[in-house]
Amino acid sequence: METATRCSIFCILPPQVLVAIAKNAPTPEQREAAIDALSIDHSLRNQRQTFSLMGGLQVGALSSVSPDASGRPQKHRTIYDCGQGTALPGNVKRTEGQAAVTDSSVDHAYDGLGDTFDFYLNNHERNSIDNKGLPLIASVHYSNKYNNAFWNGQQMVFGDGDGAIFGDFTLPLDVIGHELTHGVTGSEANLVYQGQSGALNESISDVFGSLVKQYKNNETVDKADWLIGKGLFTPRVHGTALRSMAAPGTAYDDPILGKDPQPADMQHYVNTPSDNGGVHLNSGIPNHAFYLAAKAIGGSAWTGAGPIWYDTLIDKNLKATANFAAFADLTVRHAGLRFGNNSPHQKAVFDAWQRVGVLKKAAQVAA
Amino acid sequence: MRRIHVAVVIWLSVLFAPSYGKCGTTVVLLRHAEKATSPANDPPLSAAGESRANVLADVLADAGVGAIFITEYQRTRQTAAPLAAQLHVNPQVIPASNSHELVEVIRNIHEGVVVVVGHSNTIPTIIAGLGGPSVMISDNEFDNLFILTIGPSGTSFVRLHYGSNSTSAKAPAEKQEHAMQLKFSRSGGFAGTATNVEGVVTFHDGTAEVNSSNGYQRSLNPAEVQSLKQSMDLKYLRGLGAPQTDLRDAYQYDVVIDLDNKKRESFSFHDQAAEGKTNNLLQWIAEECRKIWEYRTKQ
Repeated sequence: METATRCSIFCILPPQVLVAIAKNAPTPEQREAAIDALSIDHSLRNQRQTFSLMGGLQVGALSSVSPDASGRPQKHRTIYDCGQGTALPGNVKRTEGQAAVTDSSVDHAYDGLGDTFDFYLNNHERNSIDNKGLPLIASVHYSNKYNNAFWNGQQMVFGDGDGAIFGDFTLPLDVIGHELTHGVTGSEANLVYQGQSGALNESISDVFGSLVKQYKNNETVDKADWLIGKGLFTPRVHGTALRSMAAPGTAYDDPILGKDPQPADMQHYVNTPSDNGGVHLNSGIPNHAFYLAAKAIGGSAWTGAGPIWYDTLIDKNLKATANFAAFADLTVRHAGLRFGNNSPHQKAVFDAWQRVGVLKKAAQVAA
Repeated sequence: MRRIHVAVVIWLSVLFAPSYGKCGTTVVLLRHAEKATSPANDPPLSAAGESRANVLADVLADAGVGAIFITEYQRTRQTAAPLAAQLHVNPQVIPASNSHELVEVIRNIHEGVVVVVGHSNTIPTIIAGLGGPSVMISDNEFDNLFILTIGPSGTSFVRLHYGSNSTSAKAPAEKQEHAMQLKFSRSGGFAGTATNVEGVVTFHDGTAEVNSSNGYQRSLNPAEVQSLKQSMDLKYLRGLGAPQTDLRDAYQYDVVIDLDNKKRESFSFHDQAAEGKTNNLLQWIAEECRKIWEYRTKQ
């Protein structure tokens, strides 16, 4: 093993234990050692992640899908129904190529998985979540009046919403893009879901969730709404969506829900132990940076700022524990690599991070 | 063997001469700390034993210890290790079967403080050999600290205990801890802060009441109180470990249990943690959070 020279007790601990140590260790040294161990080895990380992605549920049984005669990667979707229970994945309702069924949640999930697969394939030559043709699995009607959608490391899970505040979580395409992108991030940098790296993990899901929607609707940066989860609220809610990338903190202001608490810049960064250290709060900061960069570059975001963010996400130099500044530096570097140093693209990216307070004015633009 | 011991005595005399007057020898005797279950012939200390060894180092830090005697078994070396490291004293090995020789060595030390780390069957022999009373150490006792003072006017003997109580079984102690309050909160999820909820269960004898800052309130019926109390199995909850980390956008539940002995237990879990588990506390909390949310949406 390449890392033998750095081996300590942390080398043999599973990542979830390391994360727990990183979060709870009594001394800064222990925390740092755990964080260090988490970010050690990129090759091992990928191997481990692939194993994890292929390991559980039915995923292991379904082998990766081979390209068809045209050589183009093919989708392989399976949608399950939990029937308001919590046992995953539930009963199969629709598999690849089958006609629409009467259950709209099943069909929305099926279509959304397909749109997300097409987005990654057509724009980034990415063959599914793991770039190895991983079959896509989603379960709908999870639990009772469940106001959530999540990625469990192997598949997507959608609740029906309570009907009072939230509707069906399969409705907005960006929610589906968001959850699948957690799988993509998991097979790349696998940003630790805690604090700043966790907020980056969330932001990347919002960014690509929004891009999937913009690409599908063929919206330019000026036409796009830059909202996350539009259509999820019932009409009684005073709000348009769950998050706004254009103006974090303004998505809703409702008597029951309160006001959208997302910060848009580092001055308003929130320190909190809940929500894995505020990953759904502080994601507003990198979200807004992406919006600013995409708007400055103009055109369609999936050909401008999108590829810069994608190049950053798959860069092996992006550590699992990266903070906002480390991620920002890498986006500036990739803007230069893709569009040229001192190009308007690179300047737009640098300015965006500087405006949200992540990069300093005096900082050198990375070559 | 005898030559070695003579050398030890000379070395000890030199060591103790400057700092102690002729006020006799204080011998601190103890059995090794809690041991692991394997290997059977020479097990190391268990985690409990290691922490007891650290306590020993604290207890004897300022006692003026000039020499430490251990046996050939690693559990005695490990018990003495934190103290030895702290004092920069190199422990002397005298085999467990040679207790009478150790007694002879100690009798030839006329001043200072020495520590003897032995076994449940050798420590009583050594104490008796040095003129102390007859003592017995049972198999599950690891917290005895015997102090034998040998002076010109005779011996005095004190039996102390150090570290956590090793004889009272752990399980009954835990059963005596009663929950006074159960605080829980739900955060995370795709919607983030918008769907946060929290609540507190307060127990009074056989009754309990749930309250949330949003005005939600309900009394638990006696059967539910009993079932909830049973589900707060601290041993099980302490063993839950770190939350699953490949979950993204799953709800995070943070739980704090305040016990009547002023102790506090806290842990976190995510959606699905309760799936397939026999303990229903996690399911109860998830369901109560849903009810508290529902109450909020009906305002």
